[in-house]
Amino acid sequence: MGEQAQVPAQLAGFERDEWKALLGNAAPFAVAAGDVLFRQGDHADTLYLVDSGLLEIAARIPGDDNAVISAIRPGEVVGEFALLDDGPRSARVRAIEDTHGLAISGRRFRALLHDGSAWAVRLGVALRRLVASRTRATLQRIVAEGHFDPHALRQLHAGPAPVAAKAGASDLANGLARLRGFEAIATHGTLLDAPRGSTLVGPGEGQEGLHLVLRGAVRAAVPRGAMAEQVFVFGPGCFVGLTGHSDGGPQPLLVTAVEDAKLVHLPAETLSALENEMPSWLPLLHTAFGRQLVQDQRKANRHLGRSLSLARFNHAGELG
Amino acid sequence: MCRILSYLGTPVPLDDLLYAPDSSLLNQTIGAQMLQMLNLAGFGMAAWDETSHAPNVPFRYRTTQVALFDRNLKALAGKLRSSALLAHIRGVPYNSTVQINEQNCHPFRFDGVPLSMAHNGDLAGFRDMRFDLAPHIRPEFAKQIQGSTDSEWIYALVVSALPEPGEINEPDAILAAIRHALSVLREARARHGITRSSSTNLMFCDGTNLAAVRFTFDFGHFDAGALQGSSEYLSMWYTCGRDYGLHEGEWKLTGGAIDADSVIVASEPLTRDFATWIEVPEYSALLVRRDGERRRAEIHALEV
Repeated sequence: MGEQAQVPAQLAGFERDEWKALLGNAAPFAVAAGDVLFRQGDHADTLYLVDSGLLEIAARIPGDDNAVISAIRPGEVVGEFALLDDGPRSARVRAIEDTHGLAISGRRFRALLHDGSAWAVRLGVALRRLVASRTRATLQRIVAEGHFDPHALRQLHAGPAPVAAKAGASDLANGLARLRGFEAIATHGTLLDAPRGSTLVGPGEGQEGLHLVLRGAVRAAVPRGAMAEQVFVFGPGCFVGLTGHSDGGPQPLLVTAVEDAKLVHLPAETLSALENEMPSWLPLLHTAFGRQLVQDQRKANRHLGRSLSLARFNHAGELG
Repeated sequence: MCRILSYLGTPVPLDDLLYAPDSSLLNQTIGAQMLQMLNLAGFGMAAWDETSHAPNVPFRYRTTQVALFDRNLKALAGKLRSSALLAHIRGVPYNSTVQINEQNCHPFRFDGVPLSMAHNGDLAGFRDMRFDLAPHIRPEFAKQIQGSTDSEWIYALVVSALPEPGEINEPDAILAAIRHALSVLREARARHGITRSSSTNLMFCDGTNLAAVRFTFDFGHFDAGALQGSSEYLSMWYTCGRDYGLHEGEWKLTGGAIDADSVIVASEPLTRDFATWIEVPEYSALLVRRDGERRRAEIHALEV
């Protein structure tokens, strides 16, 4: 385990003691060249830190095709969704070379996170940042590759900014399944009315906290000239801006209200203050952040897979 | 809420679509993956067989029975091979205000109209606004409305807006008719002050073309403290490929998208492992059309 004395760059931010505690909760793993570490659709409960070797991540797309997504090298991690979300594995990971490293059980991580164990809290932050950076990379690929179906583009509406609203955020938050147990978060910001078409954030703009949708819906899209390519629709109980909030980068997409919406703006300063005050529901908020980041990453990947498979489907039989 | 399945491609045994996969349409009667509800209020299908007499006319079957227990359907599904299918199981609120009868089972298909439709969702305030819709429905279709569902009125609006409702229409014409119908509904909702979230996930098939719509009016609008059902956007998924069947122990289309000739669209994937399925985007339509000997699939934005 000597090589793991160094914190992988993807998990930066650990104190020495926290990393030592993490290593104490990890177990060795090894996978031979050609073998599969896990398959897409498998039950997921383990995060892997790679010490040596080379892994390949591939996802299946319609038609039972495979699309190679990326490679995992020493010092990198794979399988991070398992610790943030209870969904199945989203891709297959196969060893290209003999690979070994350390594995961290999701069950153990969650139990220790619930108890407020410092290394588990730190790992949660690092994994959310990692998933956000992966989503950012997927979005950059969507922008760069431009496989979009032209029929799927919509008129770009960039309307006025939302205005302050009067109704009680607390009443609107109660009953939303996604906010169960931490509805109080809705009272920590400013309630806004966002009429259909109003702009929350433009692409490339700095991120100032988060928006929480309480009613209506918000669309995040890639601008394509005078048109827009929809990537996400966020409904009641969803946070908007988690990618930038988690990795510190600018908002990558144009975000507008797709229906008349009521939103809470949670300033970055307020969110930082909550981390210090540690209300009893803070772990539930962190869990919700992690789960939605994974859902957003899955959705961005499906968007890419859809564009790719439709392009292949529609060129079936063409020579070239 | 209901579940829908549509298929367009090379002929396959209906049993392989309706029964065989681990999350087949009929298994979704009591065990849907993406809906916390039982779908007990009836089953219906329209299935096209190019080798049958009058191939443009589908086999039709509708029953208020829980189809899982329907031996006649099981026997038919083991015998029929179809190149196109539109099938539906109906889920309704669990109370006695709902009318369970054959006229309310989907898919709907009026006499002389090749296009069939099934609906997943509901229109809030439908009883208040339905007579506003009547002027937009051709008389020959208005008199064919036999049931009490919002779905049959949506179908009547769409076929009334088709340029040639008695013919097989181009997918673009079907999509234009859908847009028109949704606009009529949007205006009627506005006149009656109806703002509650209302889902209109629709699938249309005429044996040649397929149109699948994932759309919700006023998504995310519920009465405070009285959330109705799910606050999630109703799901719709599709997959494409060729040679649908059991491959390596898994029900799937295979052969790669580049050789694909068949498409399955469903409210949710037919298998627990949905690695090869992809969502139809929200506020969008998936069109599958013939292009010579091939098929094309397109995603269209729906802004109404």
